[in-house]
Amino acid sequence: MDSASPEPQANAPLAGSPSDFLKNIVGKKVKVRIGSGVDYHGQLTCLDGYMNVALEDAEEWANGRVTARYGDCFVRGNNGEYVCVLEQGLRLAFSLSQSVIRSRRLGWG
Amino acid sequence: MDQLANSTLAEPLDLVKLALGERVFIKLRGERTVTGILHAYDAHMNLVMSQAEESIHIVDVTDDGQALPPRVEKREVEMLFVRGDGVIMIAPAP
Amino acid sequence: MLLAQQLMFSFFKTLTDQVITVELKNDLSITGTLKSVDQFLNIRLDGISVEDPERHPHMLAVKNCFIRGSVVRYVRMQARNVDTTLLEDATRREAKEGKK
Repeated sequence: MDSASPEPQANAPLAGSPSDFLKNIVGKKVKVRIGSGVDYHGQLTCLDGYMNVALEDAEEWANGRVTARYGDCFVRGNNGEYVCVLEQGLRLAFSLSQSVIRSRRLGWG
Repeated sequence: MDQLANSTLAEPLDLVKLALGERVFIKLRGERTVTGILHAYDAHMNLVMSQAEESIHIVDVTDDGQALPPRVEKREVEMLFVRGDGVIMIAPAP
Repeated sequence: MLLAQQLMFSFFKTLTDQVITVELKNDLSITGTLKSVDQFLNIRLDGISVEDPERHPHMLAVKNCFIRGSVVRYVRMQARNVDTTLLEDATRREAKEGKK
C-alpha cells in the first residue's frame, strides 16, 4: 500500500490509507472473516469506525461450505479479522489486526 | 432529517434500527444463537429481546476423542437482555 | 459517548426491586432481587439463589452479591415488568442522539 507513487485508476483501492481502502470498497462483494474462522460473503452496504459491517445478500461460510444465507446482516466489528474484496479479480486484503490491537490499547476491546 | 429511502443505510447500526420491533436472529460467542423480537439496542450491541429462544450447539466428544454428531439445546425466555460483547452477527429472522 | 450507555443503564434502573436471573459467562445463573445497577451495568442482587447448587456449592451461603457487568452473558426477566413500546421509542431517540 504505497500511497507515495501515483496509482493507476484500476488500482484505486490500493492508494491511500486503510480508511480510504474501506471507503472505496463500499458496494463491492467482500469477504469478512471473523475470529472463529467463519466467513461472511456479501455486498458491503456500509461500515463504521468500529469496523461494524452491514452486508447485503450475505452467505455464511464455515468449513468450506455455505452454512446460512441472510438478505441483510450486521457483523459486530470487534470480531473481525479482515475484510477482503472478492469482485473484479482484486485480491486485496486489509488486515483488521492492527486496528484490533489499537482498539485494545484504547480500551475498547 | 429524512433519509433518502429506507434502503439507504448510512451506517451499519441503521440495519439494527430497522429491525426494532421485528424478529431477529443473532449469533453469539460460544456456539449460541438466539431468535426473538428486538426491543432495544445500543452502540455496544447490548440487546433486549422478548419471546426469545436460545439454541446452544453442542458437539460432545467421547473419551477417545471422537466428535459425536452435534446436538442442540433450546431454552425459551420471555424477556432477555444480551450483553453486547458476546454478539457476533445480527440478521432479520427468516 | 456517555449518552450511548445511558439507555441500558436506565432500562435496568426501571427493574430495581424486581426479581431477575443473571447468567454469567461461566454458566453460573443467579436469581435475586435487583438492588442497584451502575453505568457499567454492574449489578447488586439481594436474596439470591443459584440455579444448579450442586455445581456451585460455594454459593449456598451467599445471600447477596455484586456482579461485575463484564462477566454477564444474559439477564432474564419477566415480560410484564418491561414496557416494550417505551423501550423501542427510547432506543430510536438514543440512536438519533448518537449521530449528532
